[in-house]
Amino acid sequence: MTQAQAALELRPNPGPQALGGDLRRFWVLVRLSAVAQFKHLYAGSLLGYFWTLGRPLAMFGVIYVVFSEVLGIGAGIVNYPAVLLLNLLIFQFFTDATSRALPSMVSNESTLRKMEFPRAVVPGAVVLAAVFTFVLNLVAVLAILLFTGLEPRATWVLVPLLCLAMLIVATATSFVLATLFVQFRDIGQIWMVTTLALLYSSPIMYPVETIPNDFRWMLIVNPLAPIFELMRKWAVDPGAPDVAAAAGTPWGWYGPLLISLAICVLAVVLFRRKARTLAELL
Amino acid sequence: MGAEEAGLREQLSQAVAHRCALQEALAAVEAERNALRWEEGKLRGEYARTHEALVRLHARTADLHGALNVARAEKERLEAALAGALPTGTAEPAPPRPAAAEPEPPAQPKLRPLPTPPVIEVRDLCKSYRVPARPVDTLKERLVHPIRSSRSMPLEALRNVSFDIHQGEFFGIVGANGSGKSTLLKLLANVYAPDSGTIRTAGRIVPFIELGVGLNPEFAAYDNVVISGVMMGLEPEEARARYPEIIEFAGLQDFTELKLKNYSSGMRVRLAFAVMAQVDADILLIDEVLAVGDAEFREKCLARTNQLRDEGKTIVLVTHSMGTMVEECDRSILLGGGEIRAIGDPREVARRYERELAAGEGDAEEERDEKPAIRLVKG
Repeated sequence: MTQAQAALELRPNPGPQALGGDLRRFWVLVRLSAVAQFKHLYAGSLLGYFWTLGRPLAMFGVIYVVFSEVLGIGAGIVNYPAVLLLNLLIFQFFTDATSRALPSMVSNESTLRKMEFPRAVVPGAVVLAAVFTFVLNLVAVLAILLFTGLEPRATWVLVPLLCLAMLIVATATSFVLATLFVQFRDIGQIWMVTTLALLYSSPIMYPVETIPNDFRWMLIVNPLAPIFELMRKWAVDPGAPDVAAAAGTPWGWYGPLLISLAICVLAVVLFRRKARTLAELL
Repeated sequence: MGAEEAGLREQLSQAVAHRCALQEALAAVEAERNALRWEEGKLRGEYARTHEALVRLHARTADLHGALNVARAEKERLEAALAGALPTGTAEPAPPRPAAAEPEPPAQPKLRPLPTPPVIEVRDLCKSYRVPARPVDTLKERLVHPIRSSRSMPLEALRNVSFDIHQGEFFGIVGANGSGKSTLLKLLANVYAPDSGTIRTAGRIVPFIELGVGLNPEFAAYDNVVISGVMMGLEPEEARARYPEIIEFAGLQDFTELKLKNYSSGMRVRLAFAVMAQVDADILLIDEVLAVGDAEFREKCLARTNQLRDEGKTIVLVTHSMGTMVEECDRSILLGGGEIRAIGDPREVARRYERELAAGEGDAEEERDEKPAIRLVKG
């Protein structure tokens, strides 16, 4: 009886919310839809889950042949294949998360317009599904690398920090893109070009040492650059240059940190403001 | 001199004509005021009479409750006496009937105290959409026409709407296309945020808007049932446990492997309705489910809805079918142009709606078999 009475207490309808106040429900929903998405992503194709790993490995194969054998870039680097594979993997997580989150609000239109649930569930689930893929790939790639003779080091314990940093930047970027795409559809085109630019301007396929001095500023304005540099230093080659040394200035640290922080603030402010009206704008 | 005088005369005659017009207008306004006063008096009288009737009903309900209790006590006493009077320990070989086989006490009649407390309270609700004069969908357009793009005209979907829905009511919402029904439902469902005014609700609300509950076409039935069940307030384990029941109600046992995009629209609606009917909601917002599906499923929906109502749930039904509304609803509102045109007895509301249709107000068209949900604003 007390339950029935408690249920009859009138509460104001808050309207759609970003997180909805109930973090547990938010997390349950994110987890459920991420698992469903992950199942769906690879269920329709013949090789199923093997594509998860096959895609980055195939990409690695092509880039390795072109850069190492044809262009001869990897010549002076310690264990170039390992650096390339790890950095490609973490970059792939970034593109996976952001490019799938970008249209997520629009493609979930019917759910957003009919149900009350925390709006952050939609891009959040996309990012979590990308995390699943990344973790699976990381385990497989690690096995391959150990098998091919990569030496475990003490600095490996720092690698999860890099993954965490990547997760934060990717999540914030995903939220910004998903929100903006609702109103500006050409963000999709812009983002395709941007990820391509990021891939080539980041020290993924080439070592930082080969960047001419005139182009060192690229390392300062790229929030992802330190992640790739440190991945190389901590996971494979302790002799690789530090972030500040690579950029030639301490701004090699400050620049990416400030930009990442700016993206996070933008994501929070933008998403909180738009969460109420997202369903109407679709 | 003569010309000036003629001019002045002209002005004078104009002023006189103006005064006449104003006096006429004043008279009209006064007549209207009197008419309104008369109307007000009539309404006050009606209110007083209704109130009296309500009080009498209250008293009568209380009496009936009392009588029922007395009858129950009497029945128990008689039963006890009967049990005592029966001979015990006879040599008859017939085993005593198990307790479970005893005639069950008659189902307790559902006497809801009148009136029940409100579970939805809507006050001065306003909602308008900004409809851009020119759709701006790309950055370039915004950059090229930064001023033009910000111009938009408001489209009022709801204006000062106030009403209450009480616990256990079967409440109907009718109105022509574009009258604000869908907007109202989305506001009640917490999917849209009001511009001004308040909505207060009690208990768990489950919406069924535009023929669905937001299922994902890419997922199979199982994932959809679990996710939408959790969205509607179930725990994941509860949603999983209820999945077989839901699939059975929807009659989709043979299609659980398919993705939802491969379902027919009827199958999708059935699944959506089945989920909604199984989540222990206190308030169900139902939009047009009765407009689709075959007759059998429609009957099933109505039966289930009525069953839920008998369990004390509150049902809000949006419909184009006056027949359904008059038959099922306890109370209804008629929306038109974003305002409440009529509220109360469904028969009255239906009559009013038909009158408005006949008068061609709001270009209303009855279209019970076509796709009912129209959007006021497109994307």
